[in-house]
Amino acid sequence: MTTSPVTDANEPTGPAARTPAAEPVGAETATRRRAPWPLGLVVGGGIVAIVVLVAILAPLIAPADPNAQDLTGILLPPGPGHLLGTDSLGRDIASRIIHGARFELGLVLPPLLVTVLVALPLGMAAGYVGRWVDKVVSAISDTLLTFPSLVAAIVLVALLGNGTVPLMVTLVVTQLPAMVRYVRGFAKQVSSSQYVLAARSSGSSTPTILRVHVLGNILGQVLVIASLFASEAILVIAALGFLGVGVQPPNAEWGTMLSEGRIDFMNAPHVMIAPGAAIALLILGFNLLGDGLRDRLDTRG
Amino acid sequence: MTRSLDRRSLLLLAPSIAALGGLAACGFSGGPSSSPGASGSGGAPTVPDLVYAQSVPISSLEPSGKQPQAYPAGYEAAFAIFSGLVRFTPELEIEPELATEWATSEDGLTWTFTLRTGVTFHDGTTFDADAVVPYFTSMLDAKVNLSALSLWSPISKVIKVDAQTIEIVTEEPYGGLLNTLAHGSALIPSPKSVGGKDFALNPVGAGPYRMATFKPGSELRVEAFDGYHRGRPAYDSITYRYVGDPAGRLAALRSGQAQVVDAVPVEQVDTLKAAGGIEVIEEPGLQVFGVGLCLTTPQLQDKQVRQALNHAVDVGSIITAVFRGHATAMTSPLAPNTTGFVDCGAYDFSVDKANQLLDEAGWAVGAGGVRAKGAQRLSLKLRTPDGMYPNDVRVAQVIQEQLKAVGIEITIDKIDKSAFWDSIKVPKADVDFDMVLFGYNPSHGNGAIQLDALYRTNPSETTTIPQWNFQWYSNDAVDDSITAGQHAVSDSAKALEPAQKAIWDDCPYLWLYVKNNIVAHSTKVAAPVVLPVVFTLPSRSE
Amino acid sequence: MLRFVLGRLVRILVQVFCVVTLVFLLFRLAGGDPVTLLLGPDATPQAAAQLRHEMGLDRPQLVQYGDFLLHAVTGDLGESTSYSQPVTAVIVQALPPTLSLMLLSVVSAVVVGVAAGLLAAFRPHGWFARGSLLLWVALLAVPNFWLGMVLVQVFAVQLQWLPAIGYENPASLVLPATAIAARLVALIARLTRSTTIEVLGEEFIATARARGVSPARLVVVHALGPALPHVLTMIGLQAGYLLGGAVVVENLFSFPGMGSLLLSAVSGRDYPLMQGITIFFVGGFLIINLVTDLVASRIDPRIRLGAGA
Repeated sequence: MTTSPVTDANEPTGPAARTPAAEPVGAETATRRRAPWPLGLVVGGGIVAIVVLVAILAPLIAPADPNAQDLTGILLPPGPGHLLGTDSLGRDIASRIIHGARFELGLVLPPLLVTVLVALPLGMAAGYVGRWVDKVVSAISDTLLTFPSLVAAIVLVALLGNGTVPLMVTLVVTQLPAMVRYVRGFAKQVSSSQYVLAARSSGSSTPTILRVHVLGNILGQVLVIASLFASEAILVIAALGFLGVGVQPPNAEWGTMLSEGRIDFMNAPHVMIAPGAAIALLILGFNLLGDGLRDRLDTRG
Repeated sequence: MTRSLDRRSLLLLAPSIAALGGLAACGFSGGPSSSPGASGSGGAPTVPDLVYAQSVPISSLEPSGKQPQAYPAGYEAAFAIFSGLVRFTPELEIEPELATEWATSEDGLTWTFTLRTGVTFHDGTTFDADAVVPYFTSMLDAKVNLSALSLWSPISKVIKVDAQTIEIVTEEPYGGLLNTLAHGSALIPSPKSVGGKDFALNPVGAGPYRMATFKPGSELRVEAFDGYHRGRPAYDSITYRYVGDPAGRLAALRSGQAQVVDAVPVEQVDTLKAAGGIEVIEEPGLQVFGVGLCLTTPQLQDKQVRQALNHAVDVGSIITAVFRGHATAMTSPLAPNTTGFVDCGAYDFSVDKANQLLDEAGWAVGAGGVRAKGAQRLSLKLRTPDGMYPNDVRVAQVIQEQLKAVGIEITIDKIDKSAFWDSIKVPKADVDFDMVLFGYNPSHGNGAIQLDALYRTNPSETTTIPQWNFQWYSNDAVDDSITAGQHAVSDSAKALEPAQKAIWDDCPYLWLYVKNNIVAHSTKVAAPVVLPVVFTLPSRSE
Repeated sequence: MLRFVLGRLVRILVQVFCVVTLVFLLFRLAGGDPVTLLLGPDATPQAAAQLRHEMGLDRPQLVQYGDFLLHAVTGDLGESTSYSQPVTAVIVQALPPTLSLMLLSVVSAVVVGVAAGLLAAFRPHGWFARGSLLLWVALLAVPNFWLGMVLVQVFAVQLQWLPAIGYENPASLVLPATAIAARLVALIARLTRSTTIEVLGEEFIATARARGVSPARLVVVHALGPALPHVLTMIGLQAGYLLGGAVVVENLFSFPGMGSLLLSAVSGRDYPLMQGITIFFVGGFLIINLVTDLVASRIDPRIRLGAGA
């Protein structure tokens, strides 16, 4: 049985009293016969890579201007000229989905980066140094963790208003406590490893140890968690968009497209199928990527 | 290493889950059954317990002070429980209710009302002048009447002449008195119940239905009141249920869980009409929509620019594409069935005319296709609420695109509907918007009050705007005409004509549309009475 | 054990207090108040100012906060501004629907998930197992509100088998619970499957087989043993998802529970109600975790309570 901390998606280790429940990854490996590149990693990584590419190349590959309206051609079903049909204002859905990739990634990745950058020092300090640093950091993050993230997001966005910046701030605020907990757990584990103990006894300074040994050894696991956090963030953004909270119009964010298409769902279901599928695909991609990374990390021991 | 299940733990788990489940099940609302009663054809209602799925929740039923909440759901229920002296007909005429006749004095300042005899409230109290006078007098008090004072302020006193007669005296002739008396704030509660602790939760009136149960925010059930002066009403009970999600409302209607639904989204009208067993009622409404153009923004201070905006937007295409034909273009600041309406003509859609006006005003097309005059660009911020008006955000997006075609750059500022009103009701110095998508619904049907609320010059620049002139429009001739209209006891249209024509020409708004009120009901029940002020009243079915 | 429970309860109180303070500060900082919303469009600024005064909203924030705390300690959470009722009363009305929804979701997810996981583990290379794996992966990616919408379209509008909205009878719970449970089923099934596969590979199973004892019965007993605590802990971890999912799904189904209440409190800027709901959500989350910890430790004492990570 492995000893990696909570590896399941989306909700981290709870209050300190519980021993992390480990999903026995060993079992997965056993049935997969130690494949060097797990299928999930390839597929997931591929999906994410494609979406990133689409996002970068959006203006070049989109067939039309995503905001160009055609009030005489609303709610057209998929067909020639409009691969995925048009929405309630006659805009080309395919183009909106393509440009929407920019929003999803743009809304999700920068906050994630910020979260990781802030959580790393905090978590490493708490996990490696321990004592009062740990107590303070853990107490604060545990308290913040008690707020279910979607509920916190709803409340925060109600306070901060609509728009990209408030959304990103909300994401950082809701993700940070969990990420800190994870990093702390990883750091603590690594702290008792051979390398670190050896480095310590040979007199290396704390910052060096942290930088060289701890950070290097936990990065892989942090990447796994980050990937799973990304998938949850997309879900949160989509849910917020569905509830009517999100980027300013006319921007083509997928969750908002879902919410806009709802009212026409009965007579023009295609308006919701494309954005829903896109969201699910991206979430799937990040999930597989995270799982695959975890498998790969474990197989390397 | 492995361990078998601890039986004791399992034994503990099972009953606790069962207990929790039992507790939870107690909370079932156990409302009317989900399938309607015996079948029948048209005419008389055949469903004894009607369910009306509303788009807005009812949270409180106090008719005065804070008003029944929220609009219109609270009012719709209030009209079932209470009655007023007069009431609106579907054509927005006034007909007798608890007053049988009325007359005005020569000078127009005193109105005499004869009260109906033989009427009792739900708690047995007799209805007479002692029920009306103290209550109406309290509505004149600014400390009590917090939300509808503008409708009552022209009244100076209410006098009891005898048990069946009262007089209402106004300071100046007040043409809108009957509209005020038909308004929700003039619904009369039983004098015994006023001021009681739970008044908002246990209202007692003289309407066709009496309160049975009330779960604020989700459901209100009323039962037939046998002593109603028009006889026993059509249904044994009516349940008002809050179903905020339009798709959910329609699903409830189609699955038989509700027999009446309001606020049918325009996108679903055709589907509903095609579905069997459902009838759609569509009435032109009073709610007018436009984009308020702020006269504090330098670019909008030129009338030519404002008129150009009106020519640049194709309102017809908005009505066809966004509202699927279920709205009409405005031809006056007022909707056609508002009292005092005068047709002022139309601003035809013409990109050429718009461009010409803008060129003449000195705005030349510059970098990025955006017009500029010297250092100033024609780049404006359009504020819109989200979900406050039907298709509000969509309309904003259409306007953004259409104005782009004439060289005006619009940025959309979408605001949560709960923060919207506060964000535009500010003193002049705090105005942080250029254009605002706004809809006004005169719940009293009175054109003079509407024009007063939207276009009268704001009294002070340093305090918050008193009503809804958030674009800081000011025209003395218009103010005078509005005052005349407020005093006109009859034919307010003549008095309000100068005001409407001037406002129409000045274009403090980008005039848009008047939307229809669309309501749907199962054919198993009679059609509810639908008032243009957005009220759907199954309680009026007889 | 008792000491542990008491200690946890104290911690819960402290954490709830911190969160409530935080929420109070945030709400007041953001501005926007309920008065204009309550009075409607025809009200005058004077009336607004007066109502604000009546509601005590013009007092210094610290005073309002202190007042709130004082009352909260005695169980009085203030009065909801949009419902004109005590907050506790409003919340108590909205609790049963959400509780039953959560309960049904969790119970059905456990039953279906465990069964599916077991089945998949027994024939790991059969079509059921492979298909299930794919299905679970897909279920984890599909947003629950999207699933809910599809369910309503198919089962309520087209087939008319189940109600589309509200909370009238047990049937009203089926569609919303399905939408919420889908993700849990996937998680639980995966977990059960991997635990069971592990157990299947163990020595004593081979021995038992050799002795002629049916492996199925053994596995069920011996796999469920270690799996259940993990499943329970997972549910505890998913408490956040459950509560968040309740909000979105309740909105979709016009389900009169805590989720809908939160949304309406936020849109009405009803501070007292928002504060009360916060307390319940946070407290609920913590209590769910406490309960799952307790039960899990009873089943499997290897999970020691109070052991620091």
